[in-house]
Amino acid sequence: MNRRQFISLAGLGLTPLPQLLRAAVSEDRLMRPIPSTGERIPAIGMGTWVTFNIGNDPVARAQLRDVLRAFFAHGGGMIDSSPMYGSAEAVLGQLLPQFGGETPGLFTATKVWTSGDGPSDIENSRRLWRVDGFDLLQVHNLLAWERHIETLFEMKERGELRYVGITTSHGRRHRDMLRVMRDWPLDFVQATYNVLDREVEREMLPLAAERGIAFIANRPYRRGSLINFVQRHPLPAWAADIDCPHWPAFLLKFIVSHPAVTCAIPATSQVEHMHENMSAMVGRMPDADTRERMAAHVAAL
Amino acid sequence: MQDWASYALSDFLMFSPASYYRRYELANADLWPGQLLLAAAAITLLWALRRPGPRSGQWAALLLAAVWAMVAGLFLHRHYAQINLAADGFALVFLLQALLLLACGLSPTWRQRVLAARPVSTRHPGMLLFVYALLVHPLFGLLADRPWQGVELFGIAPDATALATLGILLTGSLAANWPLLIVPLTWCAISALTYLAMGHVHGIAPLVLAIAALVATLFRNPTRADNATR
Ligand SMILES: NC(=O)c1ccc[n+]([C@@H]2O[C@H](COP(=O)([O-])OP(=O)(O)OC[C@H]3O[C@@H](n4cnc5c(N)ncnc54)[C@H](OP(=O)(O)O)[C@@H]3O)[C@@H](O)[C@H]2O)c1
Repeated sequence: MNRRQFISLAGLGLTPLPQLLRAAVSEDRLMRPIPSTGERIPAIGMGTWVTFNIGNDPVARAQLRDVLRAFFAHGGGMIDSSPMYGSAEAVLGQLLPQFGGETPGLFTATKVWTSGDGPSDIENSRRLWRVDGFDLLQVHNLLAWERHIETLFEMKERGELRYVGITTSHGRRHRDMLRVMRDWPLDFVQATYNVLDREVEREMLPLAAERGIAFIANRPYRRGSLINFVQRHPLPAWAADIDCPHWPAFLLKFIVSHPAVTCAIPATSQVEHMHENMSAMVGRMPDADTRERMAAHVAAL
Repeated sequence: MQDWASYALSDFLMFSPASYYRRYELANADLWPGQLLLAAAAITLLWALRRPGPRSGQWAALLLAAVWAMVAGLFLHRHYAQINLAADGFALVFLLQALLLLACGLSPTWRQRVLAARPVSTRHPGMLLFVYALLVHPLFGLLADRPWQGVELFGIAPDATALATLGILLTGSLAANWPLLIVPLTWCAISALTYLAMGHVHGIAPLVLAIAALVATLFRNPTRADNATR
């Protein structure tokens, strides 16, 4: 962290935590272009499922404010949420304004999740986040997607929205996803991708590359069970060759080094974990052979 | 590792265990010093079980109605609904139970049945469940390393309230009280599922104990047991 960054953090009225002193925006962190516009975004974003659903708890809010502070200090970009995540959007709306505009690169992404009135639900999300508009709106789990996707493209045309996407997870409904990707000029798709859940490599990622659609990898740690599992084993010595000092970097570098992946969105409630996750954007990345070796190694654990 | 292409129970859990347990701390802090009133209510109920008077059943039903309404408002609606989209639905079910209890307290034909008309033996399964809910259940959180500020108390925490209520109802006439057993038993099942989704298997204890007390009451020989203790 340089002096200017330190002062700007201190200017937020927040005591700089000792571990924050390790945080610094790395100029050569991995950025990925959104194919439809060429805009570059950081390859590691963050999710908010479970971790940001803490309601009116002031203690947990203070902790999440530190998590966000670490996220921005490392040059994080995309924050992904959904009206389905309980209080997560409201918690973001409480915390983000506390940074007083010091959220460089913030890329807001949420979802429409309803079989009811899309536009009024989107408006509700916007009020909860306390933003003027969203960078990305996605149809959550393809729910009533035929109706919502028209709404989203209309919003984009009117200039109220920058990007349109759809999501799924757990490997579900990939056939339908592929069909929507072929039929609509989507900017983003989001699906589960990690070192063990590699189904998207067969068709979805190649199609995303071919059609110029950005890809967001969700559940990079299988909601924690994958990271907890691998952490019971020692990190292989050769992980040092791709600058992975710990398992989080190992798992995330596997994801973001796939040429068709735009970003991964691990969720965390811990500042220390945020530091680890964001570190996966820097240093050497695995090539195709090393990626196979990584996958084989974890599969054999 | 196992194949992944399907949801697990835990995938439906939208909050972390830590966030769930914090609800108890927040609700306790909100109510303080109202816990003293709840303790007085618990002692009154215990007294009514051991020394029932002609109107004890009525008062017990009214007290329990107030307690269920309180759990619905404070814990379920005000705190739990912040992190669980289903919690307001649970609150409505708790209000329904409060209304049923209120009806028992006000109805001239039902009032005596909530409690037994005779003093209840300290070995009655219902009595044991009641005492467990008041005194032992709150300690379990402490064993699991949760802070004492989050103890699950009768009148605040739904599990403790459901168990204490079941305990009281089991001491009365089951033939008359059975409609009042449905909501507390259903809650114990919902709570057990929640704990299983959190991966905390010990959380099925309330459901197991509730069923055990019910079965023990059904198979109890009242004459022999009462003679043995009085
Ligand atoms: N259908 C959809 O649209 C859909 C579905 C699923 C997910 N998503 C999105 O994708 C995001 C990510 O998926 P997810 O939240 O399900 O799971 P995930 O990111 O794979 O895992 C999150 C878990 O990993 C733990 N963790 C994070 N960083 C860690 C680290 N460095 N070391 C150890 N543990 C760590 C977190 O615990 P701690 O809090 O203790 O760090 C948390 O429990 C979601 O938040 C959501 O935004 C979208």
